[in-house]
Amino acid sequence: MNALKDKIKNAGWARRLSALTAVISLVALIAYCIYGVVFNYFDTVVCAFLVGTLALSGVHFYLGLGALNLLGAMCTSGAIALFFLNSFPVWADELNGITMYASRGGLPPVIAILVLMFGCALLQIASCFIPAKEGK
Amino acid sequence: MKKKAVLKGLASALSLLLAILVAASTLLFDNAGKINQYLNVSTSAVVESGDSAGQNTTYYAQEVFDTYGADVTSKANALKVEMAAAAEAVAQAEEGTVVLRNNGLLPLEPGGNITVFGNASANPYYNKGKSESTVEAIPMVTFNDAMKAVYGSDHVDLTLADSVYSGMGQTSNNEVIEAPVSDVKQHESSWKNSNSTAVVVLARWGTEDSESAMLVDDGGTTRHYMGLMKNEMDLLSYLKDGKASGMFNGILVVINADQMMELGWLADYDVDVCVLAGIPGTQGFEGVANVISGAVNASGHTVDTYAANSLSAPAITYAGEENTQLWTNVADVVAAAPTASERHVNNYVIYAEGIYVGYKYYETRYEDVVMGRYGADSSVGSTSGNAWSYAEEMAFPFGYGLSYTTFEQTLKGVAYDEATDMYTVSVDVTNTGDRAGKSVVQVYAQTPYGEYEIANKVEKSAIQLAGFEKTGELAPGETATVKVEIERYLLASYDSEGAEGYILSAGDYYLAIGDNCHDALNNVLAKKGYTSANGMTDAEGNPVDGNAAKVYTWNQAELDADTYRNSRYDEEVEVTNQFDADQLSAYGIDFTYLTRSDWAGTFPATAYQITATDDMMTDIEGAWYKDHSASLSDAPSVDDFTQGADVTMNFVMLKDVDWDDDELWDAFIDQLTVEEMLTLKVDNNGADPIDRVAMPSQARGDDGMCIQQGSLTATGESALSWVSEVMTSRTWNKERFAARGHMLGVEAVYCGLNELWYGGGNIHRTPFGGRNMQYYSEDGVMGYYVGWYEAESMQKLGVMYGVKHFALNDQEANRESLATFATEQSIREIYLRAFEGPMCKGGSNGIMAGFNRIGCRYVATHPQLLTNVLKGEWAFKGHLTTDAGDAGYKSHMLEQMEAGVDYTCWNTKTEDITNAIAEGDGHALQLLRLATKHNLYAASRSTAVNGLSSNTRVITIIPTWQTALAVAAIVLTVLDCAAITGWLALNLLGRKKIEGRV
Repeated sequence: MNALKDKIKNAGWARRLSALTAVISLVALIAYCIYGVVFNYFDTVVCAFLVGTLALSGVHFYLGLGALNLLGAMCTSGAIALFFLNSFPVWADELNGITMYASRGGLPPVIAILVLMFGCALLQIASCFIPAKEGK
Repeated sequence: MKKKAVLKGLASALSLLLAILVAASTLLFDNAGKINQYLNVSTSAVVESGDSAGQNTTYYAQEVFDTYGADVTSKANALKVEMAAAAEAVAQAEEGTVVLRNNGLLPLEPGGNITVFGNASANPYYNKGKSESTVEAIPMVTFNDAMKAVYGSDHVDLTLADSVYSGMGQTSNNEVIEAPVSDVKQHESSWKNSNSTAVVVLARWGTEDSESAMLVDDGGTTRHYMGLMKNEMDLLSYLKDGKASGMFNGILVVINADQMMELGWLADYDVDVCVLAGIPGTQGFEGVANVISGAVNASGHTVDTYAANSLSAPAITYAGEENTQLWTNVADVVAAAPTASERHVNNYVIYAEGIYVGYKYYETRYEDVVMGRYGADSSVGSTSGNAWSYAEEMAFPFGYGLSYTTFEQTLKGVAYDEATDMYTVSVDVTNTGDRAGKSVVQVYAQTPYGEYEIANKVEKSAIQLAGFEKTGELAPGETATVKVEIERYLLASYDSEGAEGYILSAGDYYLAIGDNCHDALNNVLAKKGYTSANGMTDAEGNPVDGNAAKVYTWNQAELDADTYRNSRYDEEVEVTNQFDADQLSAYGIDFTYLTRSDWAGTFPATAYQITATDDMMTDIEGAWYKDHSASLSDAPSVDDFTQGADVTMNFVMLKDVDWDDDELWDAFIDQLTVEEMLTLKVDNNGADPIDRVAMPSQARGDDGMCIQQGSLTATGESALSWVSEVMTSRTWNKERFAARGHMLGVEAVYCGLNELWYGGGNIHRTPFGGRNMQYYSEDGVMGYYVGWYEAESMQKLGVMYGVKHFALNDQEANRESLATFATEQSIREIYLRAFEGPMCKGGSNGIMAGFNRIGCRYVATHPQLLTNVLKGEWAFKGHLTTDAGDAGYKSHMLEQMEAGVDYTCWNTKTEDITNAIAEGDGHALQLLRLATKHNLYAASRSTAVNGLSSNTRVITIIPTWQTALAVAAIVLTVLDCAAITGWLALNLLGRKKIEGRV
């Protein structure tokens, strides 16, 4: 734990943001998996994108390789796009007050997961804008 | 270093934007049809490539263009159309307003004062989804506007509308919004000394996707939603007291509802007048006011039963939010249906009442009480808990309606024409009063119910609507002879146990005229020799003897199971049982439906709990195409068909090609590729063009209450909001039915639509149906006639009357995929009949399947319903769509196509079909070709062929918004790639520099 603290302390802001991204993407991944299984909306590609986000931001934090946070941002973007597309029935049913798209689970979990994903994306974009600077 | 970070940051941000844009574009492109309709954009254009000058290519709607102008982009022409629609809506309201009670207060001629009460006076319902005029030049007519226009602003006291009711909002389908009487009394000084007539407007509401509540919590007390709430009772008590004290000179109640309110309380509150205004659209209150004032004589009649107790019908046991049943093993059912969501497999209802829906229950039980048989006077099903009594149960029967004059109807004779298989009932109608008015000749039938029928479970209503005509306006003293033609087919009964087909029972038949169904039944009973001594009463409980002279009777010696053995619409098709597999008995469940031969023993007092069997669960999941396809021994291969052949025929050539000309149809379809056929198979509020065969794009809208998808080409405005479908039915005037179909067709033409998903054919099985305002009536035969004349007049213009929701989709609670069990007799005689009129008599070329299941099978994957009945017995050649969406249970595209679905509403997914064909499934290709034939047939009989000649070319237009999105995606992609490339380049450069230094 102390090593991790030291790692964070010594890392530049870009890597710190990646660490935060990793944490949020882990939460998003767990939330998505629960949501997908419970409401039968699980999509392996969305899951893979989120795993990619988690892995890339984690590795970026540890190794600081310059391309990883950019790739992570791309993974998150893919997850957002696909998850939003898949959630169309929920939006259509809920916003129109109908049931003909057979949606399940309602909008709150969709919005919550989207917020988490957007959080990851924005952190990674911010991380990318920060010039790489290695810690000691 | 900074430059690298900027490029990297830009690349990541652009990636996010690109992903969002691609996702949004995908959704928008998937729904392009709806967006194009909203933006008023066409996706095809007609180009003449040869000499066709002088050729008239207006094959449909010529008379519309002659009347309103050929240029649909002209605002003046569009306004002319909408003015005509508004005028017709007012005429519909004038004839569809029903005076239910009149102690002499009506007509309430201008001159006196009126005080308006009731929250619904200020916040009434106008139409499903529309509460304002959508045409700027034609302002909405509110109830209060209409009253002021007729009586003058100085004579109409709207104090409460401007104060108490302001901002209260509308009554919903589960909460009645009415002000406490204490709030009303605070303004008493306004009307206290004006000697006004108190006008009270009460509303009830139904809405899509849920039913009206049966019971509501009213301040801690549970009450019937269709009955009065405490605030309403208090208000009426206040008005009653005010009338007694001379503060009011009368009480007039206006019902703003197409849900059948409980109205047995009118006398209790000393109400002088009750007017059924229904849901009158944005213009119709003008017509309602004209009836109240007497500017127009009342001539509307009910098309539903107004029971004193809305929960007294046997249908209530399985209906609505409250009484829709859950499988006892619902968890097993959910687990066994992986492609459906939980709420789409949870529920079932049993139409346990059999054919005894609406008046057919109350009147049949009444006759059996009078005749003293079958235990009809049992307390089972009685509201009071005592012996069942018609007078206690009934407020206003089916067909009821008063006039400001009186008519005498005399039955002159009945003739049967064997060549046409029709009875002609001749009736002399004399206006015996002192005002001009219109009279409705209602003809009802009673057919034999004897040992054969009891043994074979063929149920018979004591009285059933057979036909009707409305007179023109008759001056006082004037007589007109009215001839009502009745198809003998409507007197046949479906016998699913014995003959397995339609029968004409042996025994005595009666054709009776009457002021309403109850009056006609009393006339039949009089003919049988019964009198008031046997307990015959009118609806209010007054002893009556009936009039035997208003009845024609004959005897049929032998049961006839042959006459209707084959279809009336295609003699080669045998009519036989199609719904055996959907019966509970088919799943090994012994269930007894209501029979008049044992009222007490079979009345569904409690709901039967079903544990779904494995077979039921298999049918609920409904994935059967692969097994079915594999079992076909004579299935063709994909190679047996030619697709994408050189084009030698254009689309317009199909307009005159007979359905049976297989050679020509096959040759045309050979020209199309699979992708082109799929263009017609999917739907996006229309279909894209197929320019290779010069077939233009098509656009569809929804629905008969008001065109909701699609707008006037000239202005971009939505078309006007109509009176409800029920209000049109309540006119009992076939000219009005035809006028509605015609005007909605005209509006469709000016909206650029060649199909309206309409109304339509489902039944007011209970007062609680969420879409009762959209459906014709509680009676299938009434729907048969309304749909017939509406469809016929709309189809003449080349606009498809796409009646929905086929079939038994009668309730909105759990409407999606509700398992619905019903006897084949009730399915055919009630629930299919209202579709049979528009399809078979009106020539409709469109129809939409429902969301529900018949038995456990989703109707859009039900081959017996769609192929055997609709396309077989009814010889339907047009095209059939699913209801909207592709989710869950609606995702079985191959099963749907096998069952007879031709296109899928609001669904652009075709993978199942393309994959099957790619894998060599020739049967799937064969089905796609058949669906294409139906789609082409329907389109070629519509305005889609207008403007086309043999020299026509059709070019596809990509709308600007689609081009803009595509360009934006390309630009973002290029920028993103540039940023990534730049970043990579700077990295490589930096590395080389470092290496160089080393």
